Amino acid sequence: MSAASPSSTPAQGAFRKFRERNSRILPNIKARIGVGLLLAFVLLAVLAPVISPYSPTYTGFSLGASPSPAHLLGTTRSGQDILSQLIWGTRPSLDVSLTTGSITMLVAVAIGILAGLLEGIIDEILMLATNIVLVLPSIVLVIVISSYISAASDVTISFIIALTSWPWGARVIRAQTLHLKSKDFVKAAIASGENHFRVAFFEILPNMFSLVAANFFFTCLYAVVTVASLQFLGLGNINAISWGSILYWANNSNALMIGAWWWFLPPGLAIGLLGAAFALINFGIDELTNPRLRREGP
Amino acid sequence: MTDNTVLRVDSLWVDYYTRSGPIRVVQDVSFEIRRGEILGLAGESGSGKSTVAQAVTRLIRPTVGRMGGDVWLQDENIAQLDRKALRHIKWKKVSIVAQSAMNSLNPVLRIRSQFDDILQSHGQRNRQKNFARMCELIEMVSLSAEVLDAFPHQLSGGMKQRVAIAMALLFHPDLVIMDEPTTALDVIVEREIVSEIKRLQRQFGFSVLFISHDLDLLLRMADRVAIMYGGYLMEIGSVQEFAHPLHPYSRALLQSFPAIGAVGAERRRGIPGYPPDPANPPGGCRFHPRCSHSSERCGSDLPVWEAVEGAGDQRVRCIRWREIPNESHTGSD
Amino acid sequence: MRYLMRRIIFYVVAFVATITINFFLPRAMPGNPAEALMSKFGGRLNPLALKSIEIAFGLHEHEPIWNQYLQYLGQLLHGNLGTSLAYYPASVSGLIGTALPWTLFLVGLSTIISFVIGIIIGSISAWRFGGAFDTFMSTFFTFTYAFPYFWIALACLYLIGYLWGVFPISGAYSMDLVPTLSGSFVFNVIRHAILPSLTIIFTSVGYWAVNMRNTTITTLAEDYVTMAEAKGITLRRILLRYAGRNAILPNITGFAMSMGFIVGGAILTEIVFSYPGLGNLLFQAVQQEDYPLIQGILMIISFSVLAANFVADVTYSLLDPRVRVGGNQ
Repeated sequence: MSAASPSSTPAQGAFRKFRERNSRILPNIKARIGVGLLLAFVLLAVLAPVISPYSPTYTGFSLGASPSPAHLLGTTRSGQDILSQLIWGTRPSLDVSLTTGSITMLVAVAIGILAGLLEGIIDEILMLATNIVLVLPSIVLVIVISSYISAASDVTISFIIALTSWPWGARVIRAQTLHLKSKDFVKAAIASGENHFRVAFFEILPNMFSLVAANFFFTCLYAVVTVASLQFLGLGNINAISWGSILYWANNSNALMIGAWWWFLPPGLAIGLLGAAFALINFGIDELTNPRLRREGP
Repeated sequence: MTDNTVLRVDSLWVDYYTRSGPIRVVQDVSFEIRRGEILGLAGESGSGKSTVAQAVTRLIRPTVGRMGGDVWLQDENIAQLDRKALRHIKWKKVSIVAQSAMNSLNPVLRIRSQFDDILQSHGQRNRQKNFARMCELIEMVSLSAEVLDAFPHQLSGGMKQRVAIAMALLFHPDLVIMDEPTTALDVIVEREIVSEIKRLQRQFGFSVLFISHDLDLLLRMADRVAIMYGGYLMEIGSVQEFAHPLHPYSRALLQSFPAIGAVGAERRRGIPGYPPDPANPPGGCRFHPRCSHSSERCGSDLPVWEAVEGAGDQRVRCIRWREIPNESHTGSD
Repeated sequence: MRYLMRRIIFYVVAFVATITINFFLPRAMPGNPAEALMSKFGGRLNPLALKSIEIAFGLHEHEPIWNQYLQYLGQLLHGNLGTSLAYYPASVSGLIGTALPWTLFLVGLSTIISFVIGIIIGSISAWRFGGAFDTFMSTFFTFTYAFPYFWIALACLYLIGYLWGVFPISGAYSMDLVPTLSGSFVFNVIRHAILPSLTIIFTSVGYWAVNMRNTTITTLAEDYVTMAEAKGITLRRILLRYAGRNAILPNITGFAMSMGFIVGGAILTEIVFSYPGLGNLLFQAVQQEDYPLIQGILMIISFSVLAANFVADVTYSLLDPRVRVGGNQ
């Protein structure tokens, strides 16, 4: 049944009813699954000392063992328990992605609102900078910068990623600022002589909370994947236990060629699931706040 | 149904889906249009008049809403036709000139290709013949054939609306629905377009359902007029009969327009209150909260679509129309 | 044409900005990385190579910075990207010249295929908005979107290459073959490209599909689509010429904007498959701290992305008459 053909037979009517109900709940379901997944990871990170069967750094187990009741995900070639590493690895992965998301959003909000509020030459310059950074191959830039800094810390990596990924958010926020500026309550505030700072904080920012939130989670998604990519390449802190560094050591030890799937599949799966959690929350907020993506008339 | 009837709408209803479930925006709408007649459909925005136009041509998308009732276009019930049969009737028997001609043309195709799309979709593939027909139509609406090679954004609002009218007449349809065709235009262009429509209608004898919020315009150009409010038809009758409208809403609407020739002090009188919220309409007569003649029964009983005896086919939906003193309005006649 | 002129100016500015970033990056780093480098390689280099590194990394502390910048620009204008340290005495431009075609072939082709497939899937999703296909696809893509390229590559490599042995798992062609234009060699190259290409398509197709879906949904609500239905235009024509043609426009802009994002990720795929393109070369350079090579690769990738952007802009102006032909509005 295509959208381009109206009809009204009873059977289609019933089906449509089902779909209609479905579509109203779906964004909520998406967001809920996303939040649930994220909470599960947070729990895993917090409870790591309790849940983890062994110390993640202890190297005394048999080398390169396949999964067994004692080691559910086997051991590394240097005799560490992979499940324990995976559980402990949740901490830095969550940490880095949320930090990066926050820094990026701060930059994006600042630049987006500034450009939207001030307009004129400042807007032009900020938007030119935004568009230039936007077309740069960000991950390559991140790789290059982190290779210049030997053994960059997680916070440094967060800053580097934020440095190259703010333009997406800035563009959207600027557009929304321009839109809000045309609204009466903002016009009134500007006309009554409130300064830009107050307008930005008290009139504009509170009215784009969902937009900022959606972008925050999108940046978190980008950060999880990017940080893992960097660590996989051996950049950043690969001696700390994180999902990316597990992958690095797995690849370094030719885990693939010896068929040790239990070594490199689980951490990637974890990265993907955490990423999906962020993506689901982002889509959920998007669909709940963008009326066009809801199946509702008129 | 007599041979003389082009369109007969019977008990039409339309729902739109919203977050809080379906809401009814058109209810129990019944009317006829005769051959060669202009029926004006008037109402405030949100009264459901444009939805009637969409329902009559089955343009309510299944994702957006649903409709019921009968829509007889001569001997075929549009409400029951399957998709394929419907597509063949569309534009051949009934065509539309939309509210916003600005947006009703595809921005990325030349006018000529847009004519071609219609012709080819209806099986007319002779390029030379097609082109000749386009030129004929374009000249008929007082434009030059060069317009065919233009993109929509290169034309002015009035030109676009003329193109839309030319397209509507492509297959000599029995009925042309015009949904606020002049609303987006300035007054001078509006006058030109309206007289163009009148001229073409006299020349070709098609029927018109002319939808507008401007009752005054309708009284000047239509043969009969219908008034819509809150999803219901409130009154229908000939232009002559509207010299003495029966429904309090029709009267209020007429008085809210300045009479032709009115000067100075004679300003428009607005209707107090607001149009009903379709998600939460008042019970009984939809108009009773704003009506100066309402009684207790108006708030509980739904008035029927009642024929006015001895008055041709004038109809009214009001419980009290007989009781209300028949003051003639100080209108345009 | 005014539109294209404006875009060209933008790309020139963007390219100059890239070069400038490239120039200032090593100078802005805590402890100039090249200092360490010189102590490591210094003795092995000939004076000419030494000079070019000094210019690129700012070891002439006594010279004013704008002078260094001009010298750097002069070097670039002559196509001199310096000498590689890891592959000494090979020139950076020579190394890039060998790797670039492979990347253009693999990443370029895969990205275009992925775009086309994504546009098709996205359109179908939108036409069946809320249906089973749409629900399945948008859920599925939420996940493909979230997984890192390189991990999908590893999984592909493991499953299809290692376990099933269907496709070769590394390189661009078998080592025992000599590159010629013979049928068997071309076939060999295609076989080697299939796995990495599948990986890139798999991870990026969701992005285009989701975007196309959303723009098509918006377009389907436009008056000209409703009117096309009223005109009895065939469904095929409506979907292609009315909904599709218009819905694809914002996606071409999007294609241009996310090029850097997509290409960056795709390049990492090369590393997993040891594909001899720029990504792999970058990886080698990073591992061996070959800064001149890193700098050269960053520049050439940026340039390719800008060029691809420009192609997307030209395509856009061809598809949208409002940009191509001026008018009243």
